[in-house]
Amino acid sequence: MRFFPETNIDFLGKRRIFLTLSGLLFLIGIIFIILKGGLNYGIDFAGGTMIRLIFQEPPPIDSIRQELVNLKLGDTEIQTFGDKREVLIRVERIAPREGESPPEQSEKTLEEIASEMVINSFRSPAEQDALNRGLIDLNNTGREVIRRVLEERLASASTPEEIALKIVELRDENRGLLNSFEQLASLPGMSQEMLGTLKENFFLGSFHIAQVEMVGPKVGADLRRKAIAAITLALVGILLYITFRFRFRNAIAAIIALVHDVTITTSLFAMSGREFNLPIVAALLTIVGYSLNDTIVVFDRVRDNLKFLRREPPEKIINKSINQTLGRTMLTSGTTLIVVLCLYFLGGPVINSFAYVMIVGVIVGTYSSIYIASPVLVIWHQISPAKGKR
Amino acid sequence: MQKKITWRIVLILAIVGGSLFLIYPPQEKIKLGLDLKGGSHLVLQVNTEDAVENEVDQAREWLLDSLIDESIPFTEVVRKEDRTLEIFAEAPQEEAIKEVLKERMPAWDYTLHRGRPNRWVLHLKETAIKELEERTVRQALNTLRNRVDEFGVEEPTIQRQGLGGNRIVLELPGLDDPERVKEKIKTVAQLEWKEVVSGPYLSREEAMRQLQGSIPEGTELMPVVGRHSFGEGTNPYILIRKAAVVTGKDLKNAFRSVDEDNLPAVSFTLNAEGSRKFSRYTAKHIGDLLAIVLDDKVHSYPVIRTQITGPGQISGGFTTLQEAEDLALLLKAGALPASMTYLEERSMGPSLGKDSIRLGIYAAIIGLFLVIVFMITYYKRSGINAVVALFLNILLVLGVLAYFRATLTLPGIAGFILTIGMAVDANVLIFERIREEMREGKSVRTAVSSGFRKAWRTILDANLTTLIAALFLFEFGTGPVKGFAVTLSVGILASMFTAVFVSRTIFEATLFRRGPRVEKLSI
Repeated sequence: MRFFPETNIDFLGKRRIFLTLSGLLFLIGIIFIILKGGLNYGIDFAGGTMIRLIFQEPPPIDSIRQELVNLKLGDTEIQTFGDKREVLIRVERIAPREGESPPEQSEKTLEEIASEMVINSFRSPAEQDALNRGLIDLNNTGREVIRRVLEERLASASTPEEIALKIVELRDENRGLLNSFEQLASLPGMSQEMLGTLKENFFLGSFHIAQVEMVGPKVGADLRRKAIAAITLALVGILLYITFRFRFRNAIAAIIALVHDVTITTSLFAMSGREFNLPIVAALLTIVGYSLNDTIVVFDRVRDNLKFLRREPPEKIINKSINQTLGRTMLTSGTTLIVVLCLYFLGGPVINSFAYVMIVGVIVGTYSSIYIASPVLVIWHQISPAKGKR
Repeated sequence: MQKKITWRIVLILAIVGGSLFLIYPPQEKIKLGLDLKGGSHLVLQVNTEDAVENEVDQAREWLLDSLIDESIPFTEVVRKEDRTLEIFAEAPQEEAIKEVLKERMPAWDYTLHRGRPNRWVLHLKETAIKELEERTVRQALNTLRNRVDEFGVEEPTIQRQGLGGNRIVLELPGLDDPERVKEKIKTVAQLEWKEVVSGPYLSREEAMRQLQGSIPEGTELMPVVGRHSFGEGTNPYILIRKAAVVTGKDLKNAFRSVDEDNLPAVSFTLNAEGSRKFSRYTAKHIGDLLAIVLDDKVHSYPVIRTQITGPGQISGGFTTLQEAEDLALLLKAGALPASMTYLEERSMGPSLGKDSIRLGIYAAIIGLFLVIVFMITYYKRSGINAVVALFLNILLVLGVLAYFRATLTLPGIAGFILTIGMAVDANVLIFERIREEMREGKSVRTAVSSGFRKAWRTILDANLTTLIAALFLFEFGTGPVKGFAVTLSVGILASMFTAVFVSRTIFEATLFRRGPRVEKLSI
């Protein structure tokens, strides 16, 4: 089977059109990001608090939204997932309110205060009451606490350690939630007496805190700087490597293509309205490394062809090289695209944005190896013809 | 030729065997990251300026003692807000003070303002501050390690973030009650016994009124949190001397106990040095009050009735046995040399990770299946060759991850799936080259060997650039992202081995079996 028979497409003849088009896209992308006031940074970069709660019953989102507004925590976002029982709340970094002094040193950070306020606002009056009476929420406690309570309150408990572990395991099997104490009755080693002790000392909260992330403002700013540094340094590293393996002109052509890829991918990402978080930087850096593969395949062929076809003008040689390697370029990008699409559709919500960047990046990267890197190389060869080396 | 192929096959089988050995059983050998297993990732900042402030306070005491020791008359030694000390002394003492400063305060620079009296301004040297900060962070690191051990967290990671700097990263896998542990971790737990100068007073205002608006040099007002005589709802203060009689450094052991009213308490014993200081002090101060201070709050202020030599007790201020036990743990693990602030906290329960793993494995299997279908339909029998190489690649990646005890994170799973797609890229490059050579009319054998040879250089260049990017990603990333960089790098390196070395061996072995004249290749 062969999808790509020997082609003879004039890729470079229309290079001005494509270069202009790409240049425009590049500019539109940058302008778009600037007009939007920068990227939509997630808490990794912007700082703030993110809380993921799993509820027993789908909670009334509108009233949650109202609760959060009442807390006056600044910009808050709410999302629900799947069966609507999973709720994700994001609170932007809050500033100390006017007239209030910032919390004292070694006291709680603003992020911690925000997360406590949010979590407490979801507690029903009954739960609040149980907490006030000194009961512990079994859906949000650890096995160490369960063990200790059993040990202290029930002298006859023979293996509190094991029972505590089993309770926690059963809970985690059910997305971190127990909905009645009777569920525990069937656990091996559980006695009526023990169940009674548990009921006396614990209550079952209406939600489980599945995830809490708090990022202080310093960390976010640091990370932004480090992300830019990592991408820039990777580009410099690649520049040096290609200069070493090919020629400086190839390196520059490749870097121009890479900057093009990263910028356009980032702006397409920004247009999707998704949150820019750490894994996105990972995806962008992977694109930096990966989208180069196609470019190198073409360059490698150009290098070979320059040896054998010295008489031909560089434009013709490069165009021929692109045609000769077109099948490869498409196929390698294709196999990678297959798996990234699988990640996108099947990999779950956390990986979804990462996969999105990879899909865009692989496509843009393939395009740029043909329509950006190669034309730049042609232009350079026209300005300063190769001297027969390599 | 045959020998060479046999040798290669043996090597490949050995690697397969080795990888299987390393991976099996996977539940034990593959370490899951916090985002899959649940746990907490914490970044703490050590407030090193605390330690510097402390150092300045202690230096003042030391300087006072030294001047008195040497019987040098002086007017005053003042500690300023900007961490400087000032000595006021008459002109004739100039040489003697210079001598003291040189001998006893080597970490301090001074400038002398002559006048009546002479004013000496002392600054802690830059290098001394640097050293102190460095020591503080290292001490904090040690204390945190002790504490985490006391709390029984399995396989914790506690390290400094980057080189130097005052940030500490804690990774506590499997932590199912992060709130409790988190609070305890950053508690300074600085236990001190200090001399009560006057008080207690009903409130801060009351204290200031009785002290006529100024707190005497070398003393401070401290809140009382434990039991006191003013009744509920009051916030009494007590005036104590800053310099401690004995500190928690001299503590030998601490454990949970109950006091005479059967309320939770912490009992402790002191080491020889501490006991000596304690007994000498109590002998001289019978009838005085002694404040037991924990993290700048007075827990109790018992009257010294007799000279104390044996073990002591901290009572008051605990509501539950748990609190007393936690404090005992903290005291045993040692105090932090400075306060800490959380810069970052990521906690996750284990239930979320289970979902992610399931989805990840699902995506990987479907992706793998599609790639296999594509390779076999497009390259026929040679496609099978590539698929064998791909499976070997997967095995090898898992083996290497297990060997290096690398952590598998959610982005790591993504990286793993990505390498499935990228690993066959090398095969595609080789196969396309072989097809090209065959189209040019070369024999099967020549086409295969020159296909591999010519494609190798391209594969090397293409993969190395991806590796360069992955390297910077590793440098940049934290936790999960690092996991991605690792799987990606290992995947790329493994694919260079499997797609080139393994594929080629399979080709050559089959060609060899088919005898000297091979005219067709299923590719």
